[in-house]
Amino acid sequence: MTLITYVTRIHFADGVLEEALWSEIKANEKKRPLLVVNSDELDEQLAERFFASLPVRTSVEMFSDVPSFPTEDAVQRLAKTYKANNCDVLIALGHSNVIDLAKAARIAMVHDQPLSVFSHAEGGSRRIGKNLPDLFAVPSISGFGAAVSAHTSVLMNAGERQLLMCRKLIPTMTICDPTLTLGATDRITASAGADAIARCVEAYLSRGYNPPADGIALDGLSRAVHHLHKVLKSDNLESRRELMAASLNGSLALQKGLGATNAINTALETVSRRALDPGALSRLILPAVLRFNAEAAKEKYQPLRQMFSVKPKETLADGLQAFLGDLPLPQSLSEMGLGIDQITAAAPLAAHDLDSVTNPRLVQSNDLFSIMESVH
Amino acid sequence: MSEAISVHHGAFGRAALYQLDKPIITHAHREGHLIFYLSGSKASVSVGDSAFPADESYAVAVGPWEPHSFELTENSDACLCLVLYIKPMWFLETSHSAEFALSFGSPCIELTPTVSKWVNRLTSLLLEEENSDLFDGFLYEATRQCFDQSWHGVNDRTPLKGMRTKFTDYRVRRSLRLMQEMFTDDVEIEWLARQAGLSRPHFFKLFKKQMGITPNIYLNTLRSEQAIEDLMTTGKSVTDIGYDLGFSSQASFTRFFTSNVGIPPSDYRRVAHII
Repeated sequence: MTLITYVTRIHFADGVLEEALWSEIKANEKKRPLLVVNSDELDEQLAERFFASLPVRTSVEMFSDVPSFPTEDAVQRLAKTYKANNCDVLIALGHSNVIDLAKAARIAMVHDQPLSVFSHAEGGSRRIGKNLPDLFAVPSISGFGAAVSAHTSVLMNAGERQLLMCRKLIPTMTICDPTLTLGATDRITASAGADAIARCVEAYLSRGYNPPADGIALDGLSRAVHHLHKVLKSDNLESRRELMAASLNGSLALQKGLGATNAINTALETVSRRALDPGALSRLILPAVLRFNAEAAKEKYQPLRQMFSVKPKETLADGLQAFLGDLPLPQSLSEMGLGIDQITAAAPLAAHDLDSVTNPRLVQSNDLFSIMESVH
Repeated sequence: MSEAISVHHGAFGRAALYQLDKPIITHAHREGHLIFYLSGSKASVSVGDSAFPADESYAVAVGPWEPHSFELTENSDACLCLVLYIKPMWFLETSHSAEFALSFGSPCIELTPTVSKWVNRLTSLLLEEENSDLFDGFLYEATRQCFDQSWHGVNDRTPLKGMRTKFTDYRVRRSLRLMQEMFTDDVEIEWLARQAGLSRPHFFKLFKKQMGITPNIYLNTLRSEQAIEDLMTTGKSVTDIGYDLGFSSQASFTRFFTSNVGIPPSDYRRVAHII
């Protein structure tokens, strides 16, 4: 079936955007959707596709002032737009910043208290009510983690980044349409592929007993390994579909927990106060993390070695580095504009991240600094 | 004159018993379609460029948005048929293929004993003219049997390749949006072509290539869809529904509805039940 019902309701098929959106809006009797989208992402073609998929007599509003990651201010503005226009469903189309913003705004649409009241760290998850507005998520080439997960984080006006986590935040429905990724540039495609690979590898290796997540992660990894370079050589729908499946698998598996790579990504984004390309970061960091984890996770490395066709005398980290090496992505953290001061500030933050807890080997601030420094 | 004997609307589609004595012109709809011959004159359904029999041995399956037409193959009397309209959501929830989620594998369905059993059950239910909570289950099973059979042994999907091109040209998409926004107005194809930045013949050709149907058929589909919804869910008179959809008189609306749906709108409303 092309309807997947793990975690949430997911339509996955070529060209499914139009009919799935039409059918879901119609079946749920929605009349006034609010489209949330990055202004630079809604090009003419996507706009035509989106508007052609709305049932007749549907009145759509648009919110496109989306920051590169969710801020408290943007959350409040989005909630205000939704309420002022009497909207009855949110449709978040694009990358994770869009979908994560919409997830957080759902809380502000039904609660008048400050957003910090709902922070996971403050025990706020249980304060999130049941009647959140419906959210339909349409990830483009990225954004799958946001589209199927129960958390989002918001940069508060006070300056700190807070995690909001509750099952009620999972989008009501998600549409995965591989045709949306046709024509994506090599850089964007490589980033999406590297991100999917990192998620699958980290979810599989993370601590915890979750056989379904391990299976989903390995399946996703296999798809990414077989199709990432193929699609970079020649854009084709089959490889696009497989790569999207890998991204989705990686995101479904992340509920098991990830590892140090993702902890570092989050921390670097926090200290640099800007969105960083997650695939570009993972491509640099993951091999170093695999080297660090080698002894602690060696039993689980065997299937990965086979997947990446690692030669007997090579390490998994070397094999992965070779596999990712020719991707058209930055060669170092410094090329991404990250300085030693930011690495220094990110290391303790990453050490306190939940993903460091599930890393297969105990990882501390100085370890994380060394990992980052090795690819600076 | 063609008439509707019974129409039932359910959760994921509708079923109708039609007595058809006239052809139905080439049209398309968002729903998938299954046409079963029950008695009277045999019929033929053209799907795309090929004709398929609707008789004691075979039924015809039509995917969402596939252009098709209906005609009698004998001159004797009317054809009594059971016609199912399956919402796209059913395909999205049931389809096995991520490549061709919204289609049947083949238009030709053999009436096996199992398929016939579900056709007979559905027909009996429709003839009872009572709302029944069995309807959705029967409709699901009948459709599922046909859908699975249609994909059995389908290896060469070449005929379906064309569907991949759907929605790929932004000029076609723009015209789809404009038609959705303005389908109750007197939309001229000439104007649509200009909005798409194309000459009329080029626009026509491109639209047909991408969507499988002409822009006129697409507009008619939107109007038919809305007409059925208004007939079923509002208390508006047939005349008002026609006016709201842009028709200048009840007669022209009735003519349009009859040629696209098969029966007059007043008949449709009279016999239809919502489960």
